[in-house]
Amino acid sequence: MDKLPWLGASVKRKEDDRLLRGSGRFLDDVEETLALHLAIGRCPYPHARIRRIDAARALELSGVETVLIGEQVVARTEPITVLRPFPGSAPTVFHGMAHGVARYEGEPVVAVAAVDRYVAEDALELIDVDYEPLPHVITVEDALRPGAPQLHATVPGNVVVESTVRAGEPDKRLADAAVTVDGTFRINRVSGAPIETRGVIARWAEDTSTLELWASTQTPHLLRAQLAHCLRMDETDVRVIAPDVGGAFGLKIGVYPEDIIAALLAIDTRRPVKWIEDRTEFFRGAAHAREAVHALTIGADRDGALLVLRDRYLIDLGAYHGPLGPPLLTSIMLAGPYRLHDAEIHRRVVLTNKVPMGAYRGYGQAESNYVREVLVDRLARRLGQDPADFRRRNLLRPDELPFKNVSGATYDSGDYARGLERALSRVGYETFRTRQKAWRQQGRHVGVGMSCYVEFTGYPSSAFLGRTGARFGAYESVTLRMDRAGRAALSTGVSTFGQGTETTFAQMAASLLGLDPVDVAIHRGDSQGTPYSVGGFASRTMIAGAGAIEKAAGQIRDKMLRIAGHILDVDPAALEATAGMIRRRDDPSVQVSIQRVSEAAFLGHPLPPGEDPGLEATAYFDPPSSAFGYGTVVAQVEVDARSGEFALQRYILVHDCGTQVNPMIVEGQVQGAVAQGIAAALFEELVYDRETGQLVNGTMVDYFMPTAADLPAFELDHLETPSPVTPFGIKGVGEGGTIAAAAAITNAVCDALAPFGVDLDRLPVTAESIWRALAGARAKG
Amino acid sequence: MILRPFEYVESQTVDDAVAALRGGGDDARVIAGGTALVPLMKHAVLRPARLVSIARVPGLADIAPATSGGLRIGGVATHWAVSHATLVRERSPLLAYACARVASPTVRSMGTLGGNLCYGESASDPAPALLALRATVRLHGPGGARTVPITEFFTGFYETALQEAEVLTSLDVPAMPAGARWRYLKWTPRAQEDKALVGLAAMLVLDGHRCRVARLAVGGVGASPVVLARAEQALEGQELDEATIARAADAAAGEVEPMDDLQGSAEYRRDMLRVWVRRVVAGLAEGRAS
Repeated sequence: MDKLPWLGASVKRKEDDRLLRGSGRFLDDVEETLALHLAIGRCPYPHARIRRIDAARALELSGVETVLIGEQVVARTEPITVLRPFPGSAPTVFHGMAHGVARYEGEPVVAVAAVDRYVAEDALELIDVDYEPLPHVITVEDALRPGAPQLHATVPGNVVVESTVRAGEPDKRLADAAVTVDGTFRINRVSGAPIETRGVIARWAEDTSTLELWASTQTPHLLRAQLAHCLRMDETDVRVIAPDVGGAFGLKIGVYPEDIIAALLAIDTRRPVKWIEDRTEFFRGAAHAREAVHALTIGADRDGALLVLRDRYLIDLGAYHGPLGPPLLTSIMLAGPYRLHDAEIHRRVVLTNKVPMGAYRGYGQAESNYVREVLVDRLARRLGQDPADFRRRNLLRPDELPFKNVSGATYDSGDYARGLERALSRVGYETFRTRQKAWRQQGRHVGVGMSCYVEFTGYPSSAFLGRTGARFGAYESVTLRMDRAGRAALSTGVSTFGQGTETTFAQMAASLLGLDPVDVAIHRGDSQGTPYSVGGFASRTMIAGAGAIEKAAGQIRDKMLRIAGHILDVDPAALEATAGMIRRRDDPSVQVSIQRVSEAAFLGHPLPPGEDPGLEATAYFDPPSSAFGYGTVVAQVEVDARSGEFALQRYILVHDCGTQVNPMIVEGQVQGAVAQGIAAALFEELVYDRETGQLVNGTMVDYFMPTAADLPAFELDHLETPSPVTPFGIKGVGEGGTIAAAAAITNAVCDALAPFGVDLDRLPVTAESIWRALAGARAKG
Repeated sequence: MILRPFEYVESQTVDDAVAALRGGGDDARVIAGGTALVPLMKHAVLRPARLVSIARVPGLADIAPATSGGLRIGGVATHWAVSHATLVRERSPLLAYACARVASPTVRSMGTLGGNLCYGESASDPAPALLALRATVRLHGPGGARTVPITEFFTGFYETALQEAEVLTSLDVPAMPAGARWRYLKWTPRAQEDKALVGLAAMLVLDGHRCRVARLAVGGVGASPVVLARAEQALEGQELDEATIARAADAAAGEVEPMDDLQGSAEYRRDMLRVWVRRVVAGLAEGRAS
């Protein structure tokens, strides 16, 4: 294949024309006539028996259409399915509405459909719910105690699943190691917090007897599959449409209780039912993420060769197993980019009375990177080695790839040490160490920290997913269709939530069809009229989508060449498609426009004998392997050793995501991910009160999402190692920026305060947490 | 997150407002800029049946010179207006600066100085400045007008001396002495948009290196903004050497009753007040930062 003309070009985003003009259409911009508005009554307790619901007064309120309670929902629907169940995991029966017992503050208990949201909210206040508060558990440690309140009869001991990865001889290596270090790390509960909250409009289409659901989702087809199952309908009778989505970050995957509630009310009332999540509901209803407690040990020989890793960790699942639930990648990627053959990784997924956990950009990989890289620094300090030298010694070399890590993931390609060196040279590492000594003598505490990662992107085949129990595939799909004007229309089930897919898909299709990206129209996010699709998550869309586009465009291009050959009376093998024309490779003056070829295809003549009319192809592509991106973050901080306050002075990320389809979009993705990485590392935490079980900071006033004023200028650089295992060498890139932030900054702070011997072991890293650690270190003397 | 129905009364005079408030009883609230009140209503913390607006009462937003050389600032003057008025910048730069540090430009443009104080938020930015300046609050209620020294205005956690159906009509702000050194430190270690964990207002008048007048007040630390009286005493009449300043910082840390919440623990707040009193006073003594 010739070099693709638009591959690697920073084409301006097709999406931005409408978005920047204010013409984007988000869920709340969709207006259905005669719509009812939904308000949801939520359990105010972390755990409560629902003894009785009396909605009589609400039903008398003018403007109220109907009220739905949990008993009806449970009778009429199936529990929410788990998209990636773990083998051997105990089911948590999760319905669209609580019936009998509610298990987290915010769980839907009753719903009202009324003429507007005001009336609906007023009606909620007229509904009497008789709660009997039950004992609750808020921490994983409490949930595991003997005699702890049990959340589900189906889950004895509150442990949904327990699993162990073992490789090599970890016990022997631990015994042999000259040096071991261990640490217990607490990872904060956070949320992706998109600007657009969730939302849904359900409509029963009387004419076709189908359910139509507009949803702010990153997976229209998976949402349809789950919703149809829950409603005991066939997928053909359910249509899901995602308009523009204002951010998703993993939490808009799959079905939510509100989708089911809105659908039931639309079916009952035969009127459209609209629900827009407010921010208070968001913090109590949309998936939370990341919370975990790790007890990690690593060991090395006297020279600093990393020998062994052992982790025992607990994931705080919340009250139910949602569609995605806890990350698998924590265990899979715990070994990171190092030469490590011996490990034991033991995890337990534990129930608590909190919002169910879901995916968040970096899903599992931010967690494992944090605990490993912080402990690697401690190990280096213990060995008296520079943390950069320790990493240089242990990073896998290019000639060692492909490499199967202790959890079975096969790293495909890359030059990990080169990424580290590039980042270190950017900060001027050697000079920095000299300056650091001088600063310390002036009483200034400046530190540099680093964190290296290797990143799992995309899924390694549908068969692999199937073997691990997943209820979705690894593929993506497109339908490509030429029109009479010689333009292409590309239909994809992937919705648009900021990732730039409309542009990158158009670049791929245009390159393969001999068109300009402006001549490729994108239809997206509507389950009707797009082929079955998995959706945009797991940094997989570009990898799988490019393969599908390559196949579909190849079929169309071949047919265009046959038709053009017929028109020009030239062997199609001598032709190529480029710049809107089909022409002879060796004599470009012999040519016919793609427009004329397309017209022939749709007129039905002139066509070669036996050629069917039309220029359309649908293709599915199932990637054979995952691709592994990688990178290094180097952060520089200056810490006030009295107050604990610190300034993040520099933040350098050197990464490699393989072939870049659109470097401008890659940079945007990385910038956004870095901001979220730093947000979770330094600012954000959803805090529950252990006594009351209430979410303490469920508003934007005290959730501390950072603004631009809180973030440094990011210094980004990249390497480009095409993956040998994916179409065009593409690796995923949407999540990588989140992964290494917490460890790099933690390590930088500890480096700055090395004279005090400060260790940090929880997120977020705040001024007060550093002040405490300093006090602890001083007390130890 | 949705407003409940309420009645809205636009007052033309303070007396109208007081009458409307009396008529509304416990369910009536004054509204001016609404930047504090409306979010509380959206979260259903407050559910007033009647809102009595004083935003358009003629004269109530005026900023005027007082004969004493000080200022009279109307209760519904916005933070933006106070921070930008030349008169305030000249006569009371500490107050102008503190008002410029309130929240965000949007909030400063909508929110009023009187509303800020009547909300009773500990981490108010203007409150410590006004405490340090020993301002006087003018209130108007069913019994007529009265004045309260601002040092007696804040009575507890989101509580003030404001009585039922009373309106804060203006503030009398004494002139800052000639040569006064001042600083308002808004310390927000978590995020730029956060409220102050330590909001420290300081004004010193020095004779050479000796401190003639010390005025210190802090918001964000205790349940209410307070004057740091013992720290002031520790400084007044003293040479501002390192030991004196450290004694004042310890005095400040010892005289507050810090809150303990997500933003910061009580012990952290106390220690950080010590840190910032020391740093701010030392800075002023050296002639830095005003």
